[in-house]
This record gives sequence, structure tokens and C-alpha cells, in this order.
Amino acid sequence: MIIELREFTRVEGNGKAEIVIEDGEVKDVRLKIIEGPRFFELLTIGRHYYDVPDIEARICAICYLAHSVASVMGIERAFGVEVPEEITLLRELGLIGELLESHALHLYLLVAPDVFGYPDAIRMASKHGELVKEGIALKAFGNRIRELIGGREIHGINVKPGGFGRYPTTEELEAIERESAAFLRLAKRAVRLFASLGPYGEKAEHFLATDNYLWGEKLIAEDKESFHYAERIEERSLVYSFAKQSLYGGEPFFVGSLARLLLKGEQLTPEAKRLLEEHREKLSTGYVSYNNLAQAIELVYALERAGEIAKTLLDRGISGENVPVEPKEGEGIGYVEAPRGVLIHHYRTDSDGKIAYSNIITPTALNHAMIEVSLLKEARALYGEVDEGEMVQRLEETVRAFDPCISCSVHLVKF
Amino acid sequence: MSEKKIRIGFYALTSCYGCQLQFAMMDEILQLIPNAEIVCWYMLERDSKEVEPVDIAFIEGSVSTEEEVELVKEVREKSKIVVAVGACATQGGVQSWTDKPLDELWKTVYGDGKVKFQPRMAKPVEEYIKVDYRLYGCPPEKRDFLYAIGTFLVGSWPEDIDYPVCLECRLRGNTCVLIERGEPCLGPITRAGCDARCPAFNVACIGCRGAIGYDVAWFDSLAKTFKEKGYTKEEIIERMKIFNAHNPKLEEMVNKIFQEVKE
Amino acid sequence: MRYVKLPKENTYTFLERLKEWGRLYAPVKISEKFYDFREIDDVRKVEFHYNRTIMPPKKFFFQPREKLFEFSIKDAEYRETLEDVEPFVVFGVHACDIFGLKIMDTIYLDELPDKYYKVRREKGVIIGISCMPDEYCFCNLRETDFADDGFDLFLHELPDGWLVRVGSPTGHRIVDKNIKLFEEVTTEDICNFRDFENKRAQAFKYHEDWGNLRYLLELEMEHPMWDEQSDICLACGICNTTCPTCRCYEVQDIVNLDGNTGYRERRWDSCQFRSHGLVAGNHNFRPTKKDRFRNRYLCKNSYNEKLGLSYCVGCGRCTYFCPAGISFVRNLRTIMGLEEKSCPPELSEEIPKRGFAYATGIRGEDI
Repeated sequence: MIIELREFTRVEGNGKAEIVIEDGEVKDVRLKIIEGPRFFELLTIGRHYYDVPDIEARICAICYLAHSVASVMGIERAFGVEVPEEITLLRELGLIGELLESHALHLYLLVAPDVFGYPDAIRMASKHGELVKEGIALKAFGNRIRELIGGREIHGINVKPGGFGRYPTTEELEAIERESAAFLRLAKRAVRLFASLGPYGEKAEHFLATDNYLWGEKLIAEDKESFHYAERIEERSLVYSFAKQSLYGGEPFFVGSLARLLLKGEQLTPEAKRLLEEHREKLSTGYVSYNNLAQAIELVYALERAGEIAKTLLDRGISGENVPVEPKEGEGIGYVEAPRGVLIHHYRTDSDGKIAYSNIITPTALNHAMIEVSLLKEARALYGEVDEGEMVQRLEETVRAFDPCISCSVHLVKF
Repeated sequence: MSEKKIRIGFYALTSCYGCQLQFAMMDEILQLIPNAEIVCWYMLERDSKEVEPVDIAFIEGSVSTEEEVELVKEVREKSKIVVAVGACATQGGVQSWTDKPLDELWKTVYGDGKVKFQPRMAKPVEEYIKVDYRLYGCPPEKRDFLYAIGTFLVGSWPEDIDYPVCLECRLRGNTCVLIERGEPCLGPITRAGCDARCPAFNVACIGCRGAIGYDVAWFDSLAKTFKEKGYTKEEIIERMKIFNAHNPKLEEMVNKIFQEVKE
Repeated sequence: MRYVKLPKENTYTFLERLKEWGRLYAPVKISEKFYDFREIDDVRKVEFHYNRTIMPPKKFFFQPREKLFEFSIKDAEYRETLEDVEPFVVFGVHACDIFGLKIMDTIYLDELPDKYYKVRREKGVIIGISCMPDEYCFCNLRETDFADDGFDLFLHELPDGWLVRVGSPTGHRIVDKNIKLFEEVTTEDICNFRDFENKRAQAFKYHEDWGNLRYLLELEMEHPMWDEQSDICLACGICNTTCPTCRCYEVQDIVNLDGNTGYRERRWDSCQFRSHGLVAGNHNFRPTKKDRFRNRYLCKNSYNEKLGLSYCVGCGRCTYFCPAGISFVRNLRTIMGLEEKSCPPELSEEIPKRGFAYATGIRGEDI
């Protein structure tokens, strides 16, 4: 028989799970992505490159800047355009802002109610109002950075191939430096709070990330060798879901905060590094539920790094010069760490600067297999032991640990 | 205006969830809580019930699957006022394709793979149900939400905007990227209300609030201006169609400009 | 009139001293080609030679967006929000714009003055500056090329400084307080001033008489030019919002989320927008784009009785800033038969026989 669970709540997007029971045992769990397809890779074929990053941003609202930046990087690499460090640092600052905003939303509003046992953040606010306010304040700060670099809190069009429409002013960067220092205390408190969550879900064996902390030239796995995605990842379609599944060497793998911390710990800022060491034992077990703790540590990293970048740019002065972009035929891949994990934008362009081919792989699509495996483990452990209501709750918490962005995962093109 | 709380529901179809996110991020939402009861909102509430009777139903996202057609019809039955929020719900959004048939698109994406759910061409919500009010934008601005809800609360009807972004650019003192740099700014045909945010960042407007209704979006005049700056017909139509794919007058008006050359 | 000379080397000092009279606003370059009046911190950024600003100086007095009052529905009361305006100085206003402000005064400071405009107009100090016309300027045809009044000081450019005309008591006070910066006018200065003015008069593109323009516009309402030009018009409203004398506004009430309090805001409106002529009952006085397009020309060239001028001051902004490339001057000259000749195909029904308001057939039947 098949138990179909209700739609996931407190996650971004429309998804459900189905548990297949045979002979009184849980045989399989399927993650059904029922969000409609939007065919993004096809929308951009034949389009002039100028409009493409703005269209790709609309794949997801919580992580639009990651899509925008990945798209711009892919296009720049296809044209062979190199940008100076100032532009790369500003793009990283934008991604940091997005990391802050996304993790703060996820942790404080979507996961925290589980920690305290409330059905939602609004009801949690009655007893833990301070916490909710802190989360909202952190999120608002992340959004201010996104508005500054991206052009709007959601779907701005300031990030363009070659640079930006408008560069931040000195006053704006000084404000970022000040505020990121002020919020650090809150983030450290969050780490203590989410360290209390127990282990559940499956243990991930393989992790993937980009080679720099928030963006990269290539991907790395646990063996730290860099590679292009097509070399080691295969995608396959599923009957029950609009999203496709990816496997690394035939096995599920994990992308996200946990992957970043474990693979790139040496790139962290001082306070974040210290926290990583403090919790390293727990995190190294690879239980996917520790992704929440990893996100909290990343909040600390993001605040420190935002201050660092602002200071570097202020010391050097902002030149505000864009790089001229000449369209030409080429191929380029943009690898960016969206808050939820590795995001890949792969383009081929023609000599007029129009897109000839595009392939976008989002973190939740990459995590699809891992989510199913985790749900299977939890369903097996709980089926028959607890009542259905509690099982549903635990399965939802497992899904939430991945911080899935379901609307991102649906779009795809065959390889 | 009674003391009874207004019941609000937020439903999402196929979208990027930006409109909900924009609504959730407003600080003013805390002001609304005493006056309103949020009955259905999956993103925030675990106890959300399926479609319940509400006073105001916000729908975001385009209708792209069979299930969504059923959902919007149910929402219409159970809600007093239906507000379509965002470019996807009001105009179909960036995922609207009118020129290729769905089977062809499907094949390119999924190959011969079959998926159990029935997809459809992305369409705006009003193709299936009557919509009482629309909030435009990708995403709509916070002040759009505030203005609409504030006006509903006093039992009045929000005014519709029938003028272009150019007005707001001028009021704000932006420069004009179309005149100065010849960039393909869609401001003259795009509905205002965003306070000309993107031109203030020196970037040409991409038309995310959709073309002005009431037959005052002059695609032909703008196409002529773009043509003089050196853009081709395909480039102009592609750009205008990003957020206006379902507009019946667009192609006809732009084609008219390019036909005259041949005579 | 009182005349003094400001030597070149004292110009920046003079600007710094102006800050003592209030916040200083002056033209600066805001992008590659455009200028605007902005608040000045560093006086070195002030542009003395600019063709036109993208926003006219009326923005200081008739604000682009203004909160009129706040209201509370439950208490059934409202409270006007007239702010305490601090004095300010607008430096570098061309003669055409000074006339523009005078025209705005005839509308907003008549027998029933607009409170919001009045409170600002009394606090603003206007310092004019001379200019050389470019090919879009036609203030000579509108008789607004030399300001007789409406300013506190007017600076005329000389090779080694400025010849300053003092136009008001405030102007006298400014000069007296900074008398050490000024010098006596010499005969050489007078010669230079005269040369400049003569050169300027020659530099305009057109030299003709536009006295009968407004009547020809009414008679030629069926001219083919209206169809051709309104066809390419974008109806974007930029011509109105950059015009120094356009004065129409729209009003909107915004209610707060408590469902009780709110405020009323007014903002600049444009007669090129569809709802400008739309009234309750759904009748639209100017239902087509051509009607709206033609209306602006008739409105701009109509007669302002108090000043004996047109409402158009010949600044050239509507042509310079039109994204569709429509030339106001060329269209007017077409009507006057100074461009290619063409006679109107028929007589317009709207030409009044007994006076505009009483003409038969004017119901504005909508499309």
C-alpha cells in the first residue's frame, strides 16, 4: 500500500512524499515534486545575453542573486571576459547577503518552531518573540545587502555581465561594516541554539562544493580534486516527479552548508573556524540534520566575511568601472554556492551573443537522491513505532534539514 | 468596517515564491496581525488547511498543471475577493511560451521520459477564473500590497495604474538610459508603481510589471524608437515578450513598424 | 537697477557664502549628458555652462510628490502637513526658467494661493545665470530670453567674472553682506556684456515672429502633422514632467494597514496619460492619443493674461528629452507654414464659432 503524506509545510515550494509499504515493511520512499515545470533552460535559447541573467533570477526568489551571478559568470566565461577583483568581491558580498537572508529565514522561521515544538513561527512568537525578531532583523540585513548589490530585495537587475549598473557608495559600505559587527553576537547565539538538534536522516557519504567558498572555477568532492560537473555527475528522469535526480559515482551525495564546512573549512574566517572546530566531531558524522547547525555557523562566517569585504573595498577605494563585453562564440560554466548548495549554470553562446544551449542544475535537484534516502531511513525507523502524525512530523523535519528550494529544482534539460 | 478579523489566504501555484516572500518580509505585516487572520499559508504554517473560505485570497504563480486549474477554481468558490499577485498570476510570467506547442517543449526537456502529472502551458490565473484585483510586478512592491490591503480594509477599491514608469523616473530625477545610452528600456510601455527602481540603478527597465492596460501601451512607437537605436525586430519582440508573452497586440504592433520599410 | 561685478577668482567663495543663506542647490552633471539641480556640498562641482536640467526648477516649489494632509477615518478629521520650510538658495537658473517660475506664480499664487507652494516660494532665493543657446533653445521666439524680474541676483558672464544685476531686497542684502567680494563695474565690463548679449542674440537657430501661433494652432486642428507625430508619440509624459510650466497634478489617498489612518498625496500628472481627461461617469474628454498630443500644444501656446506671454518659455526640454525624437519646435513651425508647406485637408469641427465652450458637436464622444 502507499501512504501519501500531505504537502510539506514550512519549506519553499510544493512537494510531497509517498511511502511504499509492502508486507508490513517500508520498501521505498518517493519524493514527489509537484511544482509545475517552467522550462527555464529553453526560455533562454536564442535570447541575447543581456536579458538572460535577469530571466534566470526568476527561477527562485530566495536565492535569485545566486542564479543571477552564476548566469553572469557562465556568460563571461563563454565570452572570455575577465573581471577585476573589485567586481568579484562585490559579487561575493551579494552572495553573502543572500546566504544571511536565506539561512536566517530557514533557521529562525522554518526550523526554530520545531526546536521549541510550535506549529509555526507566528505562534512561536508569543513565547519567543525576541528570537523571531532577531531572525527577522538578520534577514532584513541580508536583504539590505542584496538590495545594494542586486538592485532589489527580490529579483534585482543590477548584476550584469561586465560589472554592475550602479556601484555602492562609501557610506553604504561603511554601514555594512558596522552592522555586520553588531549582528555577530546574535549569530553566535543561534549556533548554540541549533547545536541542540539531534541526528536524524541518513549519513551522507559524498559531499560536493565549489572550489572557492561561495563561487568557483570548478567543483571539488571529498578527495579535493577539482572537476567539471559532467565528468562525475549523472542525471536521470523520474516518473513521479518533475525534478531529475543526480548521482555521484552511482550514489547519492550532499551539497549545502555541511558540505561547504567540511570541504572548505580552512577558508573560513577566525570566529567561524573556531566554531567549526568546536562542533567538528558532530558535523563529521555526516548526518543530514546537522546541516541546520552548519547553517548557523555559516551565519557567523557570513557576518565576518561581509565586514572583511567591506573593509577591503573601502581601503582600496571603489573605481566603479565596468569591463566592456564583446559577445563571441564560446562555452562557459558558472559555479556558485547558493545558500542551499552548488548551483551550476552552463551556457554555449554564438557569435552574436545569443544563447545556443543552456543547462542549469540546482542544489535541491542535486540533493534529491539524498533526501529520498534520508526519508527512507527515518520511515523505516519510525513506521509501526509511532503514530502517523508524529512520523509525518519527523519526515518533514528531515526534509527541512536540507532547506530545499523546490521551485528551483524544476526546470531542466536533458544533458 | 467591522471588528471581525479579515480572513486572508495565500495560495501559490507554479512560481518562484517571490510574491509570498515579499509579503512575508514586510515589517508592516505585524500591524496587520491584529486586524487579520491568516488562514492558509503553507510556507509559514504547519497547520495550514486546504482551501478554506476566506475574505481575501492572494494567488501567486501561473497555472501550469491540471491540479492547479482545480485549485484556482476552488479558491474562487470559497473566497470573496481574489487578488492575483505578481507577473506569473497576472500575465503568465517569464515561463509563458506561446510560440512552441507543449509537446515539443516537453520532448526537448524530458526526452521520451514520461511524468505522471499533467503539465500545461503557463497561463495567467484570469484565464480560468474571475479575478477581482491584480497586483503587478515581479515581485510586486511592498507599497502595492500595503495600498491594496489598506484600501480593502476601508471597504473601498484600489485605483489602477494606467501610466508608465517614465513618470516615476522623472519624479525621482533619474537620468534616461534610453536617450543617453540607447539601451532598450521598456519603461514607456510598462506600468508604473515601482518608483522607477531599476533606472535609478542605471539599468534599463525590463518591464516586470507588465505592459500598461487600457490600450495605452504603445508597442509600435517604442519599437520605432528601438529600431532607430539599431535593434532588430527579433531582439525587440523577444525583450518585450519576457513579461508580456500573452499580450495579443504586441507582435502585431511591432510588425507594423518593420513592414513599412519594405514599401 | 544696481550693478556690481563679481571677479572670477571670487566665484567659489561667493558660492560658499551663499550657503549661509540656506541650503544651496545648483546645476551639476548627473551623468554623461544630463544635468540637474542638486544640493551642493562641494562648490567645485557646480556647472556654470549647462544647456538644460532634466528637472525644471519648479520642483523646489511645486514638489514632484507632496503629502497634503493626514487623516483619520474614525475620528473624521484631517491635519495638514505643511512642513517648516528652511530657506534655500537655487543658483544658476536660466532666464527661461525664471519666466517659468513667474508663470507658475500666476497659477499658484493668485487670489487663492496654494499653501504648499507659497510657503516654499517665500523661502527660496533665486540666482540667475546667463547662457548661450544651443540648437534646441527658442526662448527668443517666446520673449523669455532676458529676465527683468523674478530673481534676487542675476549673473551675466564676462571673460573675467560676472556682471551682477540685483533684483530684490534680498539680493541687496546678499551683496551688502559680502561687499568685499564685489568690485565696481568698469567700461570694459559693459563692453564685454554687450558683446556677449549680441553674440547670444545671433546664436539662436530661428529668428521669426510667433505672434499668431496660438490662433493658427486652433485653425489648423486637422493638419496631417497631428496624425503623423502623435503616431510616433510614446505617451510617456516626459514632455510634461520636464516642462518648467506644466502644473497639473493628481491626488491619491493612501490608507494605512490599521484601516483608519492615512494620508493624501499629490504628484505631478501628465495630460498625455489616459486618465487625465477621464471623469466620473466614465466620460473621457481626450479619449485618443492624438487628442491628448494636440491638447498639449494648444495648452502650452495659450495666452497667459497676467504676463502677456505663452505658457511655453522656449527652454527646449520637451524636444531634448523626448525618447521618440519628436521636435516641438519643428511641429509648431510646420503649423505656421515655415517648414514644408501643406494646407489642412478640412476644417475642424472644434474650431469655435461662438467661443470654445459653446461650440456644438463638442461632446467628446469617446471611441
